[in-house]
Amino acid sequence: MNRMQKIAWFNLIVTSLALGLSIAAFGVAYFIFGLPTYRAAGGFGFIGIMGLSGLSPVLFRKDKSKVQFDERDTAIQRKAAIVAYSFFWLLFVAAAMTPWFILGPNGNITVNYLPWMVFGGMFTVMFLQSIVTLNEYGWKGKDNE
Amino acid sequence: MNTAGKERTMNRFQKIAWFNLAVITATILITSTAIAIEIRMRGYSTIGPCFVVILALLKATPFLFKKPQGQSGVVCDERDHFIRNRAASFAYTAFWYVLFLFCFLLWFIIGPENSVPTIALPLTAFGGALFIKTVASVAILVQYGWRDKGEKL
Repeated sequence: MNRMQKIAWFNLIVTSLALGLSIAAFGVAYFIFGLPTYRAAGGFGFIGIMGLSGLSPVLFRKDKSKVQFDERDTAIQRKAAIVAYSFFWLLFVAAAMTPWFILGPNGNITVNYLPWMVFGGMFTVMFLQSIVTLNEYGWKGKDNE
Repeated sequence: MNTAGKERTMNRFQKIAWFNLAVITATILITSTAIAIEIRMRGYSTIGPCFVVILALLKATPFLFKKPQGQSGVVCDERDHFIRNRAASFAYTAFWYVLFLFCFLLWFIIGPENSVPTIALPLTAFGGALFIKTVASVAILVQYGWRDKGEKL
């Protein structure tokens, strides 16, 4: 596998783990321990695991002895970014407009919603970028890479 | 610089970037002035915010700045693609920093127990889109140079 594939796999695992653990923790706190929703939502603290993706440049260092990136890699990265950000914008606008439509223009919403929008956006971008990158390169290693 | 016999003009992307910046600046100025005047006269504003409709002009760029037709019509090469991609990449990176700062600073200042008006959310998305457009336009102009460079259409 090339460096970009490894980074994509790493990000995919990290984001999936973060979301999976968050939902599991919320479910356990809400359904098993019977905590109220706002307290059970603390389970989403596991979303902080996504911060590990910031380590990918350190974990997967560039090998300076050979060419790492050509036009094909650039095109793949560009396509992955375009797909990820297109979906991000759809979700971002939907997340911004939905409370406005439901609660009305004079309504109020908890300020906690704003950081969740940021985390949701980061998750969407990282997850989709990784999926598209792996889909374009192939999910497994190839001998010619 | 000798430009005799050459048509000195900005390329299409520079014109679009200038147009975007002009429309955004004009909208901000006109809308804020209208809101300020209305609030001073009546104490509240209902008509002023309607001036944001000027931003619809941003969607008119494909018609206002058409791609040249004909044999001499190479309008976009690798350098142009590179400049546009870099501008978009820079704009999105800047947008993430600003969105992150805005959301967390608001959360920190207001406090997690409190709430914000729902209108703040569409305004965040709207402001974000405007921010990206502005930063991308400025990045394009910075990379090409703010003025014409004797590029031929």
